[in-house]
Amino acid sequence: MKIRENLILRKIGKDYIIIEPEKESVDMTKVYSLNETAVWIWQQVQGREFTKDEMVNLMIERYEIDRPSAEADVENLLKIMREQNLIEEDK
Amino acid sequence: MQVFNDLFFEQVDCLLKEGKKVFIAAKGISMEPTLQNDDRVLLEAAGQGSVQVGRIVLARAAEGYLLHRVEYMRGEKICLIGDANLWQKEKLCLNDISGVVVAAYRGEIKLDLRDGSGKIEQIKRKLSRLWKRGKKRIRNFYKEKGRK
Repeated sequence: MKIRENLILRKIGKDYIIIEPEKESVDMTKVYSLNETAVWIWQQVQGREFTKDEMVNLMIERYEIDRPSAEADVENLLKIMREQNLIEEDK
Repeated sequence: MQVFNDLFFEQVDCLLKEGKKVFIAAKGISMEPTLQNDDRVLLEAAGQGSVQVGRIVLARAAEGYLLHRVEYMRGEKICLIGDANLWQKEKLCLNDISGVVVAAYRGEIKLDLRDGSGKIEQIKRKLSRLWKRGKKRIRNFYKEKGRK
C-alpha cells in the first residue's frame, strides 16, 4: 500500500495536520490531525510502497515496544487512515 | 464568524499567500442568513482591488479571525460587519484582511453572497421592540402621575 500522493503534512504549532490540495484549491474543511508517533511513521513511509509488517518493525525499533502492542498501534493507525481514504491499496 | 484556531488560520493565510484557493467551513451565526454554520466557503488571497465594499472577507481582528462583510473603506481603514449584526462592527486596516470570499456552498447548493439579508426585517423587529418598550414606559409614567 501507499499513502496517497497528493496529501501534504503540515505543522501547526505543536500539532501536525494532513491537508489535501487539489489543482487550484485546498480543502481545509477536511483536516486530519496526527499525533507525534503517527507523524513519525507517516514520514517514514510517505512517497513509497510499504507493508503493515514494515510499519510494525519501524515502531518496535523506534519505540522499543513489544510486537503485539506495535501491531495493535499500527492496526489502529491503518484503520483510521483507510477510513479517511488516505491510503492507496495495492492494485 | 467564530474563530476556532488562530494557528489553523495562519495555515490558511499561508496557503492563500502561495496563491491557492482555500475552502474553509463557516462557523457561528453572525453572517446569517447569507452564511450558516458549516457552509463551505471558498477564499482567495486579498489582492489589490479585490477587497471592496459589500464583499465578505477573512480578517484578523483582535478577537481572532472572522468572516464578515466590508461595510465601508476609507483609505487604509476598513470597517466590517456581520450580516446578522446591527451594531457590532470591526474597525480594521486593509492589512488585516487575508482573504476574500469568492464562492460559498451549502451542500451542493451554491449560495448567493449578496447582502439581501434580512437586515431590514431585523431593523423592523428591533424598532418594534423599542416601540413596545417605549409605550410601556409612557403608560407607567402616566400611571405614576395618576397616583400622585
